[in-house]
Amino acid sequence: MSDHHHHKETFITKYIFSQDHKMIAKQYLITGMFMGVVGVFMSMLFRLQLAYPDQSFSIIEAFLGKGGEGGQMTPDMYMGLVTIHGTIMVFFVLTAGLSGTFSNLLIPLQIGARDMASGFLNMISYWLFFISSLIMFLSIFVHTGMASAGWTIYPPLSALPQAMAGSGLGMTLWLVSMAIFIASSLMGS
Amino acid sequence: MKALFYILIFFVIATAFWQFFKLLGLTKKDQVATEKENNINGWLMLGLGGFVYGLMLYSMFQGRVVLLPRQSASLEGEDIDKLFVITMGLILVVQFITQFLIYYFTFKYRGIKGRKALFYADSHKLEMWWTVAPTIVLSVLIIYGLWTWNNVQDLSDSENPLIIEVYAKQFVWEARYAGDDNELGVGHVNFIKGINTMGVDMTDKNSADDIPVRELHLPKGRKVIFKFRSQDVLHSAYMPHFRAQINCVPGMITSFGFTPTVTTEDMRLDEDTKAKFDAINELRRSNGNEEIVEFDYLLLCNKICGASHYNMQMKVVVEEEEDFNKWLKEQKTLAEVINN
Repeated sequence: MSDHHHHKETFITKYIFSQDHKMIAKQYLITGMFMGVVGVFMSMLFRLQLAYPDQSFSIIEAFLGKGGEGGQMTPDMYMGLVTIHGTIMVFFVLTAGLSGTFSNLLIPLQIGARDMASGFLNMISYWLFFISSLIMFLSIFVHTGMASAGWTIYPPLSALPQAMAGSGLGMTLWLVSMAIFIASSLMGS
Repeated sequence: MKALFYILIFFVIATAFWQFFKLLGLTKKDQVATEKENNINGWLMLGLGGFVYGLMLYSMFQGRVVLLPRQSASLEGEDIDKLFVITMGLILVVQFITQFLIYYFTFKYRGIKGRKALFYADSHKLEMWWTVAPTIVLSVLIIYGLWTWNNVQDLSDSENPLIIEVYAKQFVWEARYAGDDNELGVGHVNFIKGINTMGVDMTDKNSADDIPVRELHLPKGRKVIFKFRSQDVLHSAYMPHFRAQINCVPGMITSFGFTPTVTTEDMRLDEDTKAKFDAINELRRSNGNEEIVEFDYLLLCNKICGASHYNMQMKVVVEEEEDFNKWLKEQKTLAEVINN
């Protein structure tokens, strides 16, 4: 290993645009954990509403604003939370956690390789994943509402803004994020 | 109870953060778990197994009062129930064994100083059995399932069936009976105009005697064939008491058929249903809701179709054939409704 690393590593190449599988695994872990906290918090909010449908909770109003006026979640907000929660948990937590973190960290060590076959692609994979997570996270705050057709995104409900408010800009961002995520997943595997 | 929830939320988020920072340190060099840590983890795993089983049994026991009435209300539903019970029984047995082994082995083979892993390359005999046995069991289950489904979906042998069209749209159900000729007039979304909300082609000779309704009535003991259409998005017609469900897809007609066997009145008198509704009313009273609810069959939407999806339903009444005929006579036909 030491033979290869004659050049000096700067902070940026070591911690940010790193091609080292262990560092990339850690980056995936951090992003995945952040998305995990977001996803779990969403599920807390809508399950709170589900468990006590006729009560109002100040925490719901505090976090959801107009979507939780008077401490009760609107049906639109509920659908949006369920959708984004599902998406985040399946794609941004499980995938980041399993193939991003564990495969990256463990497989080279287990098979005795120095690193993944292509470190550069692996790096791009993480940064695409990062962009995709960012878009997905920001799409929650779209004014017309986040994507809300359920995480399976069945058209025509998800395709027509007339069918549901979240199928406008929120759904477009969802699709953009997913397209980038798929590219990331392709490069990581 | 609210305070408890807030504490729980805080606790879970705090745990998430704690785990997060703890995990960051995991990839440090030369970090090997100590004997003590291995022991704690082993016992925790065993504890988790016990906790999960306990929770499962408790939920099954607690939830029994709000489940569906046990008796299937249709003839075909009995076959589906049989399939369900067999599959579920098998799953329960297999999951008890495998889950027990997962938790128990994690505990039994936790890290202990001096213990070496056994090198066990492969055993063709073992591999063959754990491949062949699930293959056979799953094949039997799948073939049995397909066979049952095909029998339920086969509507060719039904004699003098009652034909009903169910039309789904955000967020209501509409229905029309085929009327005297027992043939539905052509329906298409292009024909929707004013009061003609189901989009029936009124120039079709079969349309005039069709009977539009907002509540489904079904005769006991006669095969009912449903034709489903959707106006806008995907819906799913779900009649759990009859063990019937099928998607309503815009642009195509799907169908389902069953023979109702228990009238609404009889189902209300059924001991199992009574016990369940007593429990539900008790639960409602404890939540400060004094209104008493009675058992009714329902047609529900079972595919997310928009903001008011949760409230998309239609009452279904099963009654004796003569009561049904009397009720149907009182309803206006499409010709009467639309031309007036």
